[in-house]
Amino acid sequence: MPHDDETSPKKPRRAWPVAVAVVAVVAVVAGVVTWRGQSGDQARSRSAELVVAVGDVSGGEFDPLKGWGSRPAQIRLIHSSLLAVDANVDFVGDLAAAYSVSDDALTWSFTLRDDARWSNGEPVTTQDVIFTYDTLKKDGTRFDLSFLDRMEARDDSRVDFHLKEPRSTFVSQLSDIPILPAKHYGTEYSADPIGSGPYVVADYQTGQQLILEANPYWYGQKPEFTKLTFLFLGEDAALAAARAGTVDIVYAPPASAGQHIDGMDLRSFETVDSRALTLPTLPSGGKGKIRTNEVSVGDDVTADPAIRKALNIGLDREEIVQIVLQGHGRPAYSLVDGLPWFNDQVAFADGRTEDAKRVLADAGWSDADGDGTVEKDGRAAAFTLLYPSDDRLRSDLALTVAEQARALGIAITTKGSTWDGIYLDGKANAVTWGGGRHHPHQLYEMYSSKVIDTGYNNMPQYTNTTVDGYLDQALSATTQDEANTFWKRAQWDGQTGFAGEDGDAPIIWLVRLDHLYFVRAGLDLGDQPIQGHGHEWALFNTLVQWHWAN
Amino acid sequence: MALGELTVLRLLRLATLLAGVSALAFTLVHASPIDPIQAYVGADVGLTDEQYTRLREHWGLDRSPVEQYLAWAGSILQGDLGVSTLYKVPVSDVIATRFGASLALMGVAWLSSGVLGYALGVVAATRRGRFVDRVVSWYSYTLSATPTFWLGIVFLVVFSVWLGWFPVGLAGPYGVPSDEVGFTARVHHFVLPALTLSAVGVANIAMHTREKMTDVLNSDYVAFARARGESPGQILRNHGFRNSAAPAVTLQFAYFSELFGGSVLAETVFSYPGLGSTLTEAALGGDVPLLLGIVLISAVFVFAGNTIADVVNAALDPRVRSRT
Repeated sequence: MPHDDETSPKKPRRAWPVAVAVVAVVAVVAGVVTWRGQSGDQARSRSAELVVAVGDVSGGEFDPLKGWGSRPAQIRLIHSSLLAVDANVDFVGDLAAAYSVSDDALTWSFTLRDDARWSNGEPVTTQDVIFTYDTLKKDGTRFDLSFLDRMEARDDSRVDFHLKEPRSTFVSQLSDIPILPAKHYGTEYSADPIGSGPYVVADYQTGQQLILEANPYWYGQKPEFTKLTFLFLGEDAALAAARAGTVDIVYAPPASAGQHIDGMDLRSFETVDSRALTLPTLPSGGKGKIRTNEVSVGDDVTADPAIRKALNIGLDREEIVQIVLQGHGRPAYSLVDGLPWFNDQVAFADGRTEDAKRVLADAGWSDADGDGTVEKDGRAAAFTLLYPSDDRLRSDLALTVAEQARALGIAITTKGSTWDGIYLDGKANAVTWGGGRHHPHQLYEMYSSKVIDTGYNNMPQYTNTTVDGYLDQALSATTQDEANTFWKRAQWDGQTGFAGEDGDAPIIWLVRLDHLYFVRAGLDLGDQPIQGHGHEWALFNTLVQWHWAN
Repeated sequence: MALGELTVLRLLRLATLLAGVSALAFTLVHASPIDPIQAYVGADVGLTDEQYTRLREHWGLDRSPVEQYLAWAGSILQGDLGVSTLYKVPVSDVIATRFGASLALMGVAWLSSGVLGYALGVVAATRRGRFVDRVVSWYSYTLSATPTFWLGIVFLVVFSVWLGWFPVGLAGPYGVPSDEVGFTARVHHFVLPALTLSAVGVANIAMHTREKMTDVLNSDYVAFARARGESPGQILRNHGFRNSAAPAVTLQFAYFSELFGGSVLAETVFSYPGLGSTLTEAALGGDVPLLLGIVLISAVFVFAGNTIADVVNAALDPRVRSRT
């Protein structure tokens, strides 16, 4: 621009640095001025108040009709339930001082403790219990209570639940459903939730934070912390807050676990949160249902037990843990590893490439054309594995499995999809599946042939009459010990089963995640049971035991 | 055209716009792969077929898409935006609480990016090719190429973690009930998201102003003014500002839409409870009533921006006035 030089006014020459200076000064002044007197956000030291950022904890606030309680341990803060899970994952009384199951397993009787009070001081009664279960049964969307027939109060402290069919896994609902105050429950309950748990809601700021204070009427062990603040921060912001020293507990995704944060320790907790592959057990061409939609069923390759067995013993779970979870997890051999109903005979040495190849060869699979993939009767051992593309862990899992399977001579094509797409195609293809609960009901949902074509149960359309028998016996057991015996037999009874080295392996379980948190040094989180799925609430089972260690 | 007629015409336009936008948004949501019920209960929660069917009935998902849309549109006309499936409270309540926070954020970002951007654009144009111009251009290009959320994270790390001047996220201090949060505390939490949003907005305005101002300074009438002996300052005052202000103002009001988009990202990074982060939650959570509600509000918002731009443009430029 030739005339640029001529049109250079003096004033704007100074405008640029001035503008920058103004912005800088404004920012600094605003920062410094408003910084003073902010007690809440300053670096924290040991106190009777805790600030935690454990992920997205919003949704369904405090009302089971809106979904409160559908995540494990979610209700442990401001509610109590009839039963609870202890450190050994035994179901023990919470509001119920005692309970018993009739010989026909159709009547469950509970005796309420006499010192339980609502946070407004009124006593918790059998009417509250009946009201809660009636309301949720009528709603029918939040908790599956379809097996519940009716309830009756025998006197002020005893209540009987009559079931339509035996259901030993009723313990899961009994420990997940928060008891509601019949007299104070209504559409406005979320705004003023009266509960019978260790804490009460002091303030709830939608999308920002939840502030809890100790409930003076709580019947159990007094918690050491008088105030708990939950920050609804995204992952980046939560870790930044931890670095700034303003929170006491923060959830750490595996990718961030290598960081060092001053004054905080990385704590890792074993969980029941497991990942697997479902493999169609029927040959292709069939029809079935998922979520009331009709879909194709079956795959000719995975229907061959030898293919499933080769994958089961050939895949290297330890390597998958290292690659997919950066080591923050452990191999899984069933849906229920580490739980009281886990049959430890189903764990085995894996990563046995040669053995897997032999299994394939014995079943007639061989690589005649030398392309690296085995064939049988002109059909290559190839199938498609679906994964939800927005789930990084499952994407990585699918890719790693495909890579390992190639060494066995099995060609797996991975395909990203959405959950809805997966549900439509998932009965005719392999899927990266997941599960894990503090109760064994998922074993029934995933392996019983009686639930085929309902919900998204039994994805592989798996049928084994012996297994079906054990599963039914487990459901109709009258004690947890008896139930656990049958759950274990269903996995492997010495001859057959759905798990183990020689099992049918319709679902090949691969890894279990660890939950990782950065926790302020010296904070003792109590005797944690193996954690349920979902890192948001899993820690809070032991809330009342938390304390500063000396 | 009389003012009355013009107003009626504008309102009509707004009405058709809203009808079109809502129909389009509804179609997109309907075609999206997100199953609202799945999103609502979470991926790992088992539902029986019975529970699933009841939820579908409860939400009216068993009806045809056209029926669903008409039912929704019908209640909108009666002023009822429906109930958010995610928060289980009326959509109007959610929007009311979130919009205030967003409005303040966007307002400050809008003003500061407008003023600063215009100033930088003018400086760059008058010093074209010089060091100052290069700095402004470098800043603008860099910032336009910078994703808002990334800049937000950088600010978070620098100002909150290293320097400790500002809090990490949220709109109030930790552990303090909302009714006890003072004004300074709110401002303190507000600065970083606002700064992020302004920093990005500046780039756009600065570069457009720079171009327009360069055109003006290269024009015949400026050459003539210079020949007449006007000083550079006079030229800027008499010709430069008036001719470059109109496009800058238009752009600034039209920028409402981008501002909205930027605030979605900035609010998400800072966990700032505004409309933007709510929109993200609604979309990912399959909350159709809330999503459509926010889409409508933002359509009105952007429409208002464009209308104001028209009016202001007419006020600034006699040529535009004579055309309407």
